[in-house]
Amino acid sequence: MTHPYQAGEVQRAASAGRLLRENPVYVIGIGMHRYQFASDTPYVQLGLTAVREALADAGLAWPQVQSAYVGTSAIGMATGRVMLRHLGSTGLAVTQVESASASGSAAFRQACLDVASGESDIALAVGVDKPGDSRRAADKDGLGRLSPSANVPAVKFALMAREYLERYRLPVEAMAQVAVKNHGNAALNPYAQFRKPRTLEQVLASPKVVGDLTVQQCCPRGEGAAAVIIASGTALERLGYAKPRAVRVLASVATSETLGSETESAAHALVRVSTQAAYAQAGIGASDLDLVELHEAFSIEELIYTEAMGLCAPGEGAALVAEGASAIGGRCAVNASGGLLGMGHPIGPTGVGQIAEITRQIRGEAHGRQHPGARVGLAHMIGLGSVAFAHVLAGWRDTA
Amino acid sequence: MYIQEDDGALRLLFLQCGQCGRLSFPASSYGCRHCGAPSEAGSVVRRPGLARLRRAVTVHQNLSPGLAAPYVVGELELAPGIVEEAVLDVPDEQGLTPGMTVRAVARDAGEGRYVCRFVPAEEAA
Repeated sequence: MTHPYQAGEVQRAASAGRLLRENPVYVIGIGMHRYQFASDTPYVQLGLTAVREALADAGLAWPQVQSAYVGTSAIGMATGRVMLRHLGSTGLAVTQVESASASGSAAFRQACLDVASGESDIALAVGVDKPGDSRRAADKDGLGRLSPSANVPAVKFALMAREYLERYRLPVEAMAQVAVKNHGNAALNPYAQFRKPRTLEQVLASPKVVGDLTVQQCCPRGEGAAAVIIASGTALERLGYAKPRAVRVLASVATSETLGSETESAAHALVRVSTQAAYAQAGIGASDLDLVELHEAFSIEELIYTEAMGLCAPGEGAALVAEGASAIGGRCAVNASGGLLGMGHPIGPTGVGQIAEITRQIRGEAHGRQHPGARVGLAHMIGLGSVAFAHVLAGWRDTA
Repeated sequence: MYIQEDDGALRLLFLQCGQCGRLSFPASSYGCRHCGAPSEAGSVVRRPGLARLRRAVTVHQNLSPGLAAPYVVGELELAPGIVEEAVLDVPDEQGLTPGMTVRAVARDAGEGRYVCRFVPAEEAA
């Protein structure tokens, strides 16, 4: 039986899908500030670097942008206006969005719906962050816990890893291979926090954090920025934008966790339901995907989520990595950017950075790490709590 | 969350929903996690501090204040469908097997306070 909440999610997703079908929206500009370890660089400089690069990529001037959605988790109130005023005080709408790790994805979704609804013609989604005090709402809910680490994601995923490896009788190497692949991809990405390939031996020999997860199987903390410009079809015509560089947003889905069951963990169900809703909106199946950028803050997540997304059968996530099917040049490149493990996870920018990577790949501009024949991509993020955001993008030629 | 009986045993406190009858943990929850009924419509029930261990891992780094690594945490089924992470008062993971029963015990936290930890049920007997 379909869970009533899941049925509601699918209905709501279908509604958003109708909006995007009737009023197409496109990514027309992307920009990044490299992800890096915490530094003295002000967040304003990080964010403006990404926004200026996105404006230049789109061939736009700042006054042409009508609304801005700013994804950030740790900087503080009113990040957007304080940062964006240095581009000129144009009076545009500025909204700050926070959804933990998925803050950037949430900002991108709001920008897409803003344009699809006709409220704006051209919108900006920008993610910017610096390491903060990481205070979490779950630690302030007034409820007791039986463990001080009950809200620590590394522990949750280490427990999931132990269960997964035991169930499928896999060695820890199967999980560690995810880190080897993604660090290898990150080494080819000039925007990545880590630019060094790692061997399986190095990944396994790095200090243990919790359970079977070693340091190199856990994403780093850091800072950075990512920006994308979204435009309507009408705006594309008006601007005379080179359409082959436009990447269309075919689906935008947001869901949150339901209670798990004996047979399916809450995390698996969250990814499965949100992804299926996105496929339905986009009118595609998992086999149509050439690219996936997903939330592998911990190596085990990539194995579980690729299965939940239908990229492979249950228990085959490790084989997908080992056989090279999820490598650049494989059947579907997973985390070609380097993912959260290699590219980094500065929180606010991460979801927007995924969109920038997929756009770059579909355009054929991911020099040095280009996945051949990249046409359709899925960006999927999880935020603490847990919430999920899924977006499907495809090249203009494939959607015209 | 829990209460110590006169015999020293710990009992866990749950919220039993007045609408659907199902349990939520801890008892101070703001509503039923299953049907959403407000907690005022439910009642607090005491259950023996027994749980089924699903799996356990060792925390090697200091990830949260209040407990220095290394220590062992487990994913415990406290009641049907209610799974919580808890600290196991064991020296290491040896001897812990998925499916085994663990029991809540009170451990001295200083200044007259105690905390809830879990140990294999046979050990606690």
